[in-house]
Amino acid sequence: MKVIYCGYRATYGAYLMAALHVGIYKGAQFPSSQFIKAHFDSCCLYGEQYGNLIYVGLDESLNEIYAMGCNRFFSVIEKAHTNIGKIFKIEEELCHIDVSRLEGLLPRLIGFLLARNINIKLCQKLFFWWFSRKYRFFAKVVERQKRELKKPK
Amino acid sequence: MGILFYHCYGGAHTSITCASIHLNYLPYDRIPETYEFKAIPFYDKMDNDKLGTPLYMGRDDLGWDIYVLGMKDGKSVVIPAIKSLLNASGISQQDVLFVSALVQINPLTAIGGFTSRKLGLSFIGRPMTIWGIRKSYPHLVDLVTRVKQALAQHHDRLLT
Repeated sequence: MKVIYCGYRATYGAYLMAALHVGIYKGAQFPSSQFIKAHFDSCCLYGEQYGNLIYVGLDESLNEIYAMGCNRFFSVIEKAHTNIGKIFKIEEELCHIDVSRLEGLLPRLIGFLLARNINIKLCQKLFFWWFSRKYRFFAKVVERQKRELKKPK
Repeated sequence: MGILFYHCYGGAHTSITCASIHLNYLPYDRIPETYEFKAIPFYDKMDNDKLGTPLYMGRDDLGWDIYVLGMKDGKSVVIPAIKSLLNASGISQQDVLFVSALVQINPLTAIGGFTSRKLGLSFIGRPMTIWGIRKSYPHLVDLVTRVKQALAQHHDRLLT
């Protein structure tokens, strides 16, 4: 199965949840500031990549975990992916998870400022604040999501 | 052969018209009458909550499967998302083409489309879309002709 975490941008909530899912971030312990800084750097570099599946890793059930930036088009992309899968007879199941409502508006603001190179120091501070506020919440959501995925259909 | 997607905002009018011209449901040499548009399958039928679902229109004489796809104003996101999925699934994108049907579109088509599909007033919106599309019909025929020429060249290249 391909599990695709979809945010407004790929590198904020979507990547954070994907990384928690595969175990890059351990849900129980808060990551070091070096990790968070590296995450912020990826936001600076790849924050504006919309529509690209970013491969994050495999989980313990060998599901492929991806992050993707969908902008405002989550429902369109979800339907397009599902139906394209049928047209091309892709047998692998797809699971899209909409993160954009969970991540809040701050990543949009940070992304907007970063895209225009406005005050990167401020963006970094905002990012650290957002990360520390959302980390435990996302860890819980990912745990719940993993349990859902393991349930037999 | 391959798969060709005509895409536009709502997947209900211009892309359907282009696909219909491509598949010879509508004529090349004259502007169709209103009843001819109404007879096209899926014309002014795509619901907003189904945007992103490709509609199969038929197979052309070169063997290409023709689909119609509505993607709001998100083509710069949705097309990479589709290509990215194909790539991740190990499927070649060589024979997958996307053609934007939003060429020189008459504003009346857009207003009519909004009235019909978004507001649900199809008795007002549908005639407006047909009126607008009849105005820009030569541009759509030109687009489809160029697409078919490109496909024919592609086909010839494969044969030689």
